[in-house]
Amino acid sequence: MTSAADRRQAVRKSGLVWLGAAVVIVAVGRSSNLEILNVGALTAIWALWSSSLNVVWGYGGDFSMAQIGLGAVGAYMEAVLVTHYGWPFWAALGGAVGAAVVVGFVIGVVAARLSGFYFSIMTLAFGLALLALVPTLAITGQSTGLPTNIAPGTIRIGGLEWNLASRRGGYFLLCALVLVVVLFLVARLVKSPRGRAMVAVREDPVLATSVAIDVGRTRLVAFVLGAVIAGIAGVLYGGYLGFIFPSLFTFSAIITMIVQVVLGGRGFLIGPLIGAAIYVVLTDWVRFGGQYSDGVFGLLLVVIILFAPKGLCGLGADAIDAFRRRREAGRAGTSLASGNQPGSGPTGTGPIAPASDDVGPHHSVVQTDGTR
Amino acid sequence: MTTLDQSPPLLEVKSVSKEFGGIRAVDDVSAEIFPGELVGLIGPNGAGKTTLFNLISGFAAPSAGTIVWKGADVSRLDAAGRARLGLVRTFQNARVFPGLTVRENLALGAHRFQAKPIHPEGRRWPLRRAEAHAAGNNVAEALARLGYENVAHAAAGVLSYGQAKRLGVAIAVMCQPSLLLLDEPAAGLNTDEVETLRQDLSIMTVSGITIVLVEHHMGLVMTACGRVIVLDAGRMIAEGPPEQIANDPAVIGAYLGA
Repeated sequence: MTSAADRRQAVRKSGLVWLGAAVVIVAVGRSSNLEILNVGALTAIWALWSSSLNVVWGYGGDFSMAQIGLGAVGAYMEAVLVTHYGWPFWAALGGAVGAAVVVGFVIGVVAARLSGFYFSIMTLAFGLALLALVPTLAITGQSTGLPTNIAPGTIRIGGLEWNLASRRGGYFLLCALVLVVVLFLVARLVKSPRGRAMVAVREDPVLATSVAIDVGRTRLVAFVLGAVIAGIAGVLYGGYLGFIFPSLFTFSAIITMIVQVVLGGRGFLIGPLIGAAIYVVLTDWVRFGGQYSDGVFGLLLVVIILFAPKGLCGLGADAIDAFRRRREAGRAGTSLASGNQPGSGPTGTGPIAPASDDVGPHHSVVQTDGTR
Repeated sequence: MTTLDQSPPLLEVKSVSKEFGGIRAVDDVSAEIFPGELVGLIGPNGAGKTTLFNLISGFAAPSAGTIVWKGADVSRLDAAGRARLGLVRTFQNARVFPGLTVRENLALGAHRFQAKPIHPEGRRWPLRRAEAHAAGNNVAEALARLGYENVAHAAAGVLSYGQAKRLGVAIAVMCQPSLLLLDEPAAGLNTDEVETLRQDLSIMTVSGITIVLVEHHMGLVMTACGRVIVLDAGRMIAEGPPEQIANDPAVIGAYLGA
């Protein structure tokens, strides 16, 4: 096993992916087609927002319905700080994320004591309470809402220059860069010990406990990280619209996010991005389903859950896996089922090729020993 | 056992009871486990063996009594905290992280060493990297020892039952336990796999892991264990070397239902 070479190759491969992303972003950013720029910016914002659910649910295993509420906290905090207190954009962004973290921590402390369905209901209750509560405050403009008035500044690359608040590429660039940075950090997180612990808790919290993983703390950390990402997404969403008001943050938005994550594939880094891209292109561009688009997406959700529960990324990963296995089987003949390897030592058991049809009775739903 | 009795016990179970709505699943059980031992814990179905494991490992709280680990009362410590102290258990069913690869499963067993707080004298990054590297080496070594190199990148969920069960034990071993509680590791295994388990047990014992083994496979218990504890209806009815236990009238009575 040449793991060092494997790692070098993986680094080179992921470097290519990030480079490709940069090329796409700059290409779209230089476009003069406003529609493309708007779709791009909205896709990046939704991808970011849905990524907050992907961290908590896709990696952490906790199905949270509070992400829209946490995003609303971020959006409103930013707007209040900028409009009422005259804070500069980046300082207000810090304040908005701070507010989302505080609220997320409080919700997380309460909700992470529960698991499964009860966790979801608790986060739904908190999420809806936020959506109902935030607009009643005088400072948030109540049902009228308030302007976001953001001015993030200008960036220059060589001879090119973008005003980050501008509809002409600048705002898209800002959103896309934030998305890339967040996805990069999430990718790093998932490979870190803490990220591995999150995935372990998703896979089996009881087994995770038995190897000294603090399940409660791990779930809380995942939830707070999700709140950070949701807060940033909310700020960018408010800036994109220029004005925020209560009916932007609704139960329907919660469903939208679930559709995106499930469609793209939860637990995959770019799952939310793919789901968001498809959603934004279909709804904002081609006006897919017209006035019935909520119903159409509901139907789409049912179809995806029934036929591709791992989403589009899951389908892709399975296809690549099948292709690789077929190629390896072709190369190695029948040696996959050849039993003990010569060097496997005295403790090697019988055939050790994976038997995909023989899953056996492990991870049964009813556990008689050790419950959380 | 004369030499073993010289050192203080690793684990002391002191008058522990567990009630489930009026039923005493574990009834006033006291036992001591000494370093280096391989102790069998047997009894008919429903005798309270797994419940006792849950009480010792912190997955359930006793209704009465205390669990003492290396001289300190750990009754109020949660399961993850006890695992961190080296008190680790496995589960009756083949419990693995099904969606993760075999390699990742083993690495997660060693999680507490990768996530360990940074050494105060060392610089942050290099040391953490060195630790991660060492943990990676341990995983490679474990894969080789298990003979699982060519399934290293397969999802643990596609392993056969016997393989997954052995992986479950290996995950616990990666946690570097002082005491390992094995809950029916032989159940559901074929003859060859039980033989492999017997070898695994002796390797673990030689490498310094103290083991308590819950098992219905009497052949394995009688040949592998140095001491056997018998539970029936939540009570400890016998304790001693295997040959004595095999001829104990109370034990025979419990198994025959007399």
